[in-house]
Amino acid sequence: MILSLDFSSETPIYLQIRNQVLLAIAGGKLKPGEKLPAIRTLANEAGVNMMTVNKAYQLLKEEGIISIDRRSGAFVSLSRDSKADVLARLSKELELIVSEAKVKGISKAEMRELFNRLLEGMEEEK
Amino acid sequence: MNIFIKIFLLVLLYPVLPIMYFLLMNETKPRKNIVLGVTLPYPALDDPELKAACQQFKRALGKAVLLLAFPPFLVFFADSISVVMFILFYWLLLAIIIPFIPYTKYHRKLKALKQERNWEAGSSQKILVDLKALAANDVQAKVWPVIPALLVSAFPLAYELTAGLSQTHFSILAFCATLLLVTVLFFTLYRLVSRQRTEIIAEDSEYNLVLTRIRRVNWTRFWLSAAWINALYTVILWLSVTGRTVFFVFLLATALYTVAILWTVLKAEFATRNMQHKLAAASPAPLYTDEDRYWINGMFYYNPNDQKSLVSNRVGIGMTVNLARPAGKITMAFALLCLLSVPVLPLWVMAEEFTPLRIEATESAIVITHLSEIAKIMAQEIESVELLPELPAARRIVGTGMDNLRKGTFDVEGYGRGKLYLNPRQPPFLVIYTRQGFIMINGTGEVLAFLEDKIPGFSP
Repeated sequence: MILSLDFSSETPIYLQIRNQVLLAIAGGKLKPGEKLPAIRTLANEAGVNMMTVNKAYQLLKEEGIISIDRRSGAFVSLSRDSKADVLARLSKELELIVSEAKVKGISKAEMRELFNRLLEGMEEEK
Repeated sequence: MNIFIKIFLLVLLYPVLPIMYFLLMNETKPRKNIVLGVTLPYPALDDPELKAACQQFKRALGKAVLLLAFPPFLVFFADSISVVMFILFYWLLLAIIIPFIPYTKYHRKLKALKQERNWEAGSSQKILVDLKALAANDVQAKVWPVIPALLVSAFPLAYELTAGLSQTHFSILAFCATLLLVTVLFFTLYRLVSRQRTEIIAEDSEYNLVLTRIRRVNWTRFWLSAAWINALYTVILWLSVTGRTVFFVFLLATALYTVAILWTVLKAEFATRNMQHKLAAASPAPLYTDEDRYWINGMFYYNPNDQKSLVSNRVGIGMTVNLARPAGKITMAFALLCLLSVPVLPLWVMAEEFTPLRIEATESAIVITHLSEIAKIMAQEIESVELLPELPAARRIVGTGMDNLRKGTFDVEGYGRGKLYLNPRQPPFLVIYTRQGFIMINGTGEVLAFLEDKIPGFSP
């Protein structure tokens, strides 16, 4: 799985790491149980601060996407959070996205089409 | 100057030219998708204009190398050691610098072509990281295979320090310490190989993982071999400078050392490069980032976004430093200092050789001057004096040993270890015994008159 970090992007590096790991899991490129590099190793490889990688890993851990063990390091481990909890969290995040779309003048039909396309893409990748 | 020494120096230094030629010629073969230090899209590698530029570069490089091929043979027409060193060292410097003139010219030409054809690969501020390959490669090189080499390399210095330290042996200590530092440097680089960036040539992590492992295995082996070769050379050099082996052993060891290091480094580089080429060709989805903006003339790496101080070299072999990092700046400054010392050394030897040794008598002492005052023998320190019509055979321990100058500590046949300040071409010679040992100098008229006056019973 190739992580592509763009230093000229407005998206912070830690969020780029988090987003791409999430997309890779959703797309089946990273599977549950798969090991992720150690924080120091990834920071050294990408030429970024260890705090940046740590922040990305902590975020992924809080979201229940990875587990961090002191001895075995970080690995993909989808948490056993209840479906209701995940849906509640996603609902909050989607509310923000939908509001932004409304402000920018994107119609309901356009949003629906976009969402359907993303869902189809996810199914194909899986 | 002995013809064998000239041949030895020539054999030792001359390979620099074919190696430079060979390495730079090789830059026209795509390394992944980099040609003459310029990153190109894979389909562009077959572009006829690109191929024509590479051909022109090869011709220009050939001419430059041909120009440099003959000057070193001028040493056979020179008698003095400093002139021989002048010819060879200045030639060495030119042999390193001149081939880069056509390289820089055609590197810029390819860059212009790349811009003209719009071959840039999007944002060059992107860094690719293969998470799977990185997670699987998180292994450090083991320390234990280098420890014995470090101990062997440290032995001469430890022996000299425990055997008794004196001013005389300072240069021997410096020799041993320098070579030990080189072994430590090789050890450090051996450990750093595993911290180098993962190679990314394809979307598929398997390709990246295999290539990264091949690179690391080859370079780890090289630095380990280099540490061992250097450790053994340290011992041989120490045995030689302390007079425990004949000079021929030192010459042979130096030649073998050079050949062994060159052989292992070229083997590591080309084994890696060939595999890289095969894997990149076999990969169904080749991948690359364009980092050209971080490479000054394709040779010097300057990337403030990269925290690594050492990266794989783009031109030539091995690794190079990131000039945006403090460690990189310091290393480059040191390397430049070493390069600048190449033209300074023969000038210093020239001053040594062509400045006459002055041995004068004052009211109370014999003063020996060569570039500066190097010795002063007070009359009351002299215990006895011996006049020699011929100079016995002497072997240099520390100091200068030229056809017209012996300056420093020598082992003299029949006399043991002592100081020599003389021109061997100007007999007679004086052996002056003091409480600290003996000193041999030229028996000039002025000095003979001084000794006749000050030393009872001495008559030339």
